[in-house]
Amino acid sequence: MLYPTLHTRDFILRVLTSGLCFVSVCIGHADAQTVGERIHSVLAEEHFVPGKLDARGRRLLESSSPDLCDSLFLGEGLVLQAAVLRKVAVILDTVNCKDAPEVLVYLRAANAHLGGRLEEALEGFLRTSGSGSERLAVNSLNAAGSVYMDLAEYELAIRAFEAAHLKCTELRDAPTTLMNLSAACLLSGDYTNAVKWTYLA
Amino acid sequence: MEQLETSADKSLVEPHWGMSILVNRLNAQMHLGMEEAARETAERLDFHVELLLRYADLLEVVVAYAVSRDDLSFFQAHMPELSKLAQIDSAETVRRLRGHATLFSPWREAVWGKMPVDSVWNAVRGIPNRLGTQLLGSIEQVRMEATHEPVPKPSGANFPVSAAATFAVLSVLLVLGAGIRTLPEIVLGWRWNVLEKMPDEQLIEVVAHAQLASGSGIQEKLAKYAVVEVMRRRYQEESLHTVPGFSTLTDREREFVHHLVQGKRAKEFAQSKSLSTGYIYNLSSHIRQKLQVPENQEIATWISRQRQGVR
Repeated sequence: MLYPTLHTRDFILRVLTSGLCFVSVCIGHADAQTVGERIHSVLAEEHFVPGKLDARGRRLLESSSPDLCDSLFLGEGLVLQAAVLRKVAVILDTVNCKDAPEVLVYLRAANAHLGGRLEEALEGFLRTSGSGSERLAVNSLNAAGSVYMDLAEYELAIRAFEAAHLKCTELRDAPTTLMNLSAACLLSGDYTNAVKWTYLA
Repeated sequence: MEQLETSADKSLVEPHWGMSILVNRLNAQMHLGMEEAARETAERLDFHVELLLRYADLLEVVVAYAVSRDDLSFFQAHMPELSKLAQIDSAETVRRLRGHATLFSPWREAVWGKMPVDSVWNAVRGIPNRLGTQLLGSIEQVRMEATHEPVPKPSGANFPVSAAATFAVLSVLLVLGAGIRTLPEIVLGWRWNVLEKMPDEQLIEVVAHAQLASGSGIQEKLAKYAVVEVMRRRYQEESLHTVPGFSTLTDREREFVHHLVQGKRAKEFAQSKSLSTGYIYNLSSHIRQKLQVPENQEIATWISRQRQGVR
């Protein structure tokens, strides 16, 4: 008997992208008064409505002078965040300032992922996977794992998800990571571990 | 394992994630041949959980589980909930379940008539589980065979004709190629040439009905799959028209909506039509405005809810 393989890639992407909006929250806590925190406060003000976030971000990008890097970063971050919430990639010139905050690197990677630019997405997610913020690191590793899944690199996906699992100290992150792990194991044909991870959830 | 199991029962996992995890477990256990454990997992599935993110994923595994065990009673016990899930994500259901989708209405009656469910069950179990791309591939193969029958080569090694003349002769033979041997093949070849320009839906429908009627040519089972495919597309199209505001959409917007409700991604649409991301963005915005889709919801999800009359 042939069994169908549960294909959870779309599901994973859905979970990840819906989780992205929380990334800026953790960054906000990590670096008070930074771009991350400002993105967070705008998200709350605009109730996560993509249209409003996008409009506000674009206004900032248009009105800020080239030396106002924080405003430009914030503008770009809001536009990217809106794209992520809509799950439709956006074409946007990267702000020409050095030392982009981690949350922006993450959002740029997420946008690249939505746009099917997998290598670029992977590079960004791997960069932020070493973040001091646990939430950002876990999200980045989960996201990197999902890119590996897209690339049918299931062993690498499993490694990324396992690393995310090791970093998970907050309970609410654990189920997503374990679900990803079981899905990756299923797709790689490692059914024994697929069962094991579901029991840990 | 016992220690680990405790967390699944009283976990803090959100219910729909919990279902996904259980379905993953069931899938893996089936692969491992862990029949008893799979049965226990199946018994714990709760099909009433709202926000089941991937209905078709769930259905795919559950139906495969029931069919593999030949457990009609399990299937019938959950039929109301499973049917509901099948209707919510109907396009994806047929795509994933292929021939097994005919266990669910409205496809069951369309394909099997008034046959009792247990008879349908036996018939479905006997069908190779293929549809979708494989079906289209099979039809394409038949089409190729019909339109490009091997052309008889002229006898003699030194056939003294120009390249242009050879091309002309070959072209004529290619056009008539399907009908060289028998009258039915000529008719079939002619029909394929006409059908070639038809949209996929129409092509599948014509082929399916023709083959069901004659009972020859393409295997009857394959033809039944084709009917399922036709039913799916028809159902999808008809139900879209019940969505408020759908009639105000342009052809391109309808095409895009149709694409989205099939569970496909916007970028695939952009790629297949050679459209820019900006164009797709504007297209989405216009559709959102016309259908009054809330900002925090996906178009496909919103339409799915509208079809069910949920707001």
